[in-house]
Order: sequence, then structure tokens, then C-alpha cells
Amino acid sequence: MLSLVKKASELQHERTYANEFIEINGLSLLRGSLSEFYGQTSAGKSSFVFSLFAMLTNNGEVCALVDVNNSFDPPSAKSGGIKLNNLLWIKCGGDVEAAFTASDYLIQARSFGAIWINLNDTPQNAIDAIPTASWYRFRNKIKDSPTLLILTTAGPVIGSAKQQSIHLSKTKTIWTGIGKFKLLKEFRVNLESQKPLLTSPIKTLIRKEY
Amino acid sequence: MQKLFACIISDAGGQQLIEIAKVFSPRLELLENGIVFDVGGLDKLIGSPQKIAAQISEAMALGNISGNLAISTKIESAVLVAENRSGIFIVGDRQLEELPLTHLPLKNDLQKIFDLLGIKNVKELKKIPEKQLIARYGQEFRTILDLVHGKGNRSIVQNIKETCVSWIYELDFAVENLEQLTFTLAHGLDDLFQNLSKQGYSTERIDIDLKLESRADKPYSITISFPSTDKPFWRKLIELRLSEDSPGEAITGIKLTAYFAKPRSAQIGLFSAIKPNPENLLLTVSKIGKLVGSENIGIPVVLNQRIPKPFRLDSKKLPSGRSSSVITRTTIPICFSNFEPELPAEAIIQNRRLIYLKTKKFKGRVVEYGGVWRGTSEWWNAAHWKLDEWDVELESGAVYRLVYREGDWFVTGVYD
Repeated sequence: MLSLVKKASELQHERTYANEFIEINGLSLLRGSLSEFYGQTSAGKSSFVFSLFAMLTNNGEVCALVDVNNSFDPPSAKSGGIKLNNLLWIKCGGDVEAAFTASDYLIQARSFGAIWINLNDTPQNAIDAIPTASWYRFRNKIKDSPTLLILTTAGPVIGSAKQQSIHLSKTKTIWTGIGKFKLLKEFRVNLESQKPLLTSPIKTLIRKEY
Repeated sequence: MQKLFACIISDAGGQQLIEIAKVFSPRLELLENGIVFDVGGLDKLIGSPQKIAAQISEAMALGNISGNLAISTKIESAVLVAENRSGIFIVGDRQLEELPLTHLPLKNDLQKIFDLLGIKNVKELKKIPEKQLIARYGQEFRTILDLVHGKGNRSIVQNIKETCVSWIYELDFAVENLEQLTFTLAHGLDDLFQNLSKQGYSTERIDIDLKLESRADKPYSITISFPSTDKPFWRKLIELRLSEDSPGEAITGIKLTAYFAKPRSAQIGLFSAIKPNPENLLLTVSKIGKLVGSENIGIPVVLNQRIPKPFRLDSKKLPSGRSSSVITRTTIPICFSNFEPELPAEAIIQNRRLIYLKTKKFKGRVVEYGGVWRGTSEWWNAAHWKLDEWDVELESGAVYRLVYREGDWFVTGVYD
């Protein structure tokens, strides 16, 4: 009789993630989609992804970081609440091609909670060399999987292949203290969803913790 | 099914005897001077006890093992006969009756008494009524009587603890292309895992021993952090390992050895957290490791040390997928990103204030800055370090970390 009952692993495999959203700081991110976070330096892109990763890794999900320029700072991630034991860190040493092949392998595994391709500080000519077809391939491969594929860059790069695009812009940097004794306190950031287009930006604070 | 046991008493080593016994039975017990094993049920496969004895003796001859062999329905009888009579025996009443009393486990005084009474062998002892013997020598004598009447009730005590199973294959022709070994490996793993599952084990380690054309051996060892008998997974791991470190010569033989490990007990819930299964994760990590270098993939570890960069990448560990108490934050903490390598910078200072910063990637007027944060440690050795740090906001809005070290300025990272 038990043979009539499907195994939990099979049911998990059959589970669809088409309408599952991750709610984070006022944004809804769709599982199985390709999302882009872009903005100038210090606009809070990485902080926002850290916040997302903190939520997922503490929930027991395994996330992966494709660190194109070896810029990841684990102490900062730890203080940001990321459970480092649930994070797979891949250092690519500036090799964008290797980063994309690695991302491909991670997407094929189909069971990471989120994959972050960190293209911050990657030279523009290397970004321009990425064929648009790669993004479409990623988009097709990621659908129906639970994985949230995230890209952070200075400017929009995915084009029409993206399913969600968030533009971050810093409005102000707040310092505390007087005279020579100043401490960085917070960034005031606007999150604007470019796709799907939302009318008003979400204002948020990104705070330095000491 | 008739119970039947075989006993070999020999000077050969335990391992040799185990190898012979294993051909006939998985239930075996190693004795001090031999081995006893269960051959019950072999009558359907081989035939009469005589035929079974002939086959065992053939196997002994092939293995260059000399010794005594006895087959009996009782372990005690088989051991008794094999220990005391040389040759091959199917133990019946006659074989037991011919045994002298000195071969029975009798106390010395009893031996002397029977000697004085003129009772020399088992046959003569059996003529005395049992009741009278027990009345004289107590209930302890019952065990001797059971032994001589072939009434033992001992069972096999499997005292051999194996740690691995092996599969060996000699190729008909030397093979240079590793892809040609795919089917052979798959067959070997099939065999290996069948043996493992028969014994109720899984494995965390497989050793591969390749025999090369030059008669040299090329050993490989693959250890994973969880037990698995997933054949495609192990096959891919082996292929990856062989492709990373090719033997460089034609292969003439393969030996696979799987070491025992307790099977994994996994509970998968429909709504459990999203994480790759261990096999999938390890394969993905291995493939990426081949691409970026195995030292560049792993989990980040924060070090409890006072050094400029207190972290490292642990490439030996994989993400665990364990949950912890969910954090609830109302604000997002600012994240810091390193520049690798750090950027040499030019800082312009006026009236003891930073006013301008220039690197090969960016430049700009300093709007605000915080610091100085002074750090130093390991002054007692050559790894001594000392630096001053500032958080610097440029007119573009970007906030960087500026470092002054040994007379030079560097930008080590950015707040993003």
C-alpha cells in the first residue's frame, strides 16, 4: 500500500514555486526568477542582498555567492546576520567567464535558496562582453526552481531578460559625532522597482553597526 | 533446512581462512586455531555434505592451506573432530566414538580415574549409563555427555569485524582513455554497493587502485562527509578525480574498495528548508572546484584573531543547511566589500584634514570622514602589522575605507 504514497522527496521535486515570494524590507522577490539590483557605489546593493541572505540562511536554506572580484567580507556578513555555515562562497578572482560557468552549475543544482552573482566593481568592458543569451538561458533554467538568482551591478545589464529589477539610489549619508570625531551612521536609500514598475519608491535605512 | 557446520583447523593465518570461508558462507566465526562457518543450505547448491567437504578442501588446496576439516550438524562436534583428527571428516557417531578421552575437555583427575577404570575412548564412555556418570561427577558432566552424543546447541558467534568490501577487475586489454572505463566502473560500483547493502552498510570512502601497464599502481582515495551508495554520484566523483589527476599511462586493472559507514538516516519534509541534497551539493562543488580551483570554493570562516583580514575560506567544508533562530531586523546593516588587491591611493591633506582622494579607479573631494581607527598587533614577531584607518565619503556619495600603512595610502574596500 505504501507504494501508492509518493515519497516526500518526489513531492518536493514536483512542488512548484511559481507564485512563491520572499518578502524583504518592503519588496517581494519571486522565487525561480532572475532579479537585478543596480545602483552606484555605496547605494546599498550588497547590504540589501546581505539582508536577504541573512533571512534565508537563518531559515536553513543554502545560498551561494559567486564572488567575481573576491570582494566578499565574511566579518561584515556575520555582523549582518548571515549564517556563514549555510553559505557557499566561490571566489572567481576577476574571471567573469568562470563566474558564469560556476553560476550555471549552481543553477543546474536547482536547490539553492538564492544565488548571488556579485558583479560590483567589475570593469564595464567585461560586463559588456556578457552575451544577452546567457541571461535568457539562466532565466529559463531557473524557472520552476526555488532558487532566486540575484545580480548586483553598477548599472542595468540584464536587459529584457530580467524578471525583477530594483534600482537603489542613496539620498544621504548620515554621520554622527562632532568635529574630527565622526562615525558613519547610516545610508538613506530609495528602492525603485523598474520591473515591474511601481509608482513610488520605497525609502529605507541602511545602518552601520559597531 | 538441515543445520550443517564446517570447521577448518589450520596453522594458516586468519585472513586466509576467512577468505575461504567467505566463499561458502557469510556466517563465520574465527577460532584461535581455525574457523567455523555455517554451510547449512548448501545441499541445494552443491549437494551432499561429502560434496561440500570436497569443495571446501579444493578451495583449501587452491589457497595452499593445509589443515583438518570436519563437517557436522553441531558446531561442537565439528570443532572437536577437526581439532583432534587429521584429514577430512563428515562427523557421525563413528568419528566421535573413535576419539580418545584425552581429547575431551575433562579435568585431569577425571582423566586419571577413567584411565584407571580402563575407559580409553568415547565409545567405551558411552557404554556407561548417563545417570550413573552424572550422579558421580555432577551436572557439569552433562556438557561432556552432550558433546559425545552430538547434542550441542551452540550457534555461530560472528566475531569478524570487517571494515571494507572490494571489487577487483583485470582488463583484457590496456585502456588509455578514461572514458572507456565508465561502464567497467559502473559495473564495479554496482557490485560493491550490493555487497555493502547486503551487510547493511553505506560508505563515505572509496579507494581506487589502478594497475598500470608498467606494473606500477596508481592509488586514489575519495572521502566524502556523508554516507552514500548513490551509484551515479560516486561514478561522477571518481571520474572527476581521475580527470583531475590522470594516471598518465594505460590501465590494465582496477580495484575498488569501499569502507563501511552507517547508512544515512534522512528525514525529508515537504516544507523543509530549500537546500541541495548532499550528493548534488558535493558534485556541484567538485565541478566548480575544477573550474576555479578547489581552494576557492567553500564556506567563509571568521577567525578569532587580531589580524587585518580576520577571515578565510574553508574549502574542506560544505554548507550544512541547519537553521537557527530567525533574526528580525527593522533596518539593514551596512555591508563592507573588500578590494582585492587593495588600491594604492594618493591622499591630499590640508590643515590636518583629508580633502582629496585619488586612485586609478576613482577620485574626488572628500566630503566627510570618520576616524582614525588605529590597529596594531603581532609586534613580537616578523608578522608585525600596524595601520590607521578612516571611513571616507567622497563627493560622488561613495564611502570607502582608507588605510595608511608604512608610509603609503591604500583604499581597502567600500561600504555598499
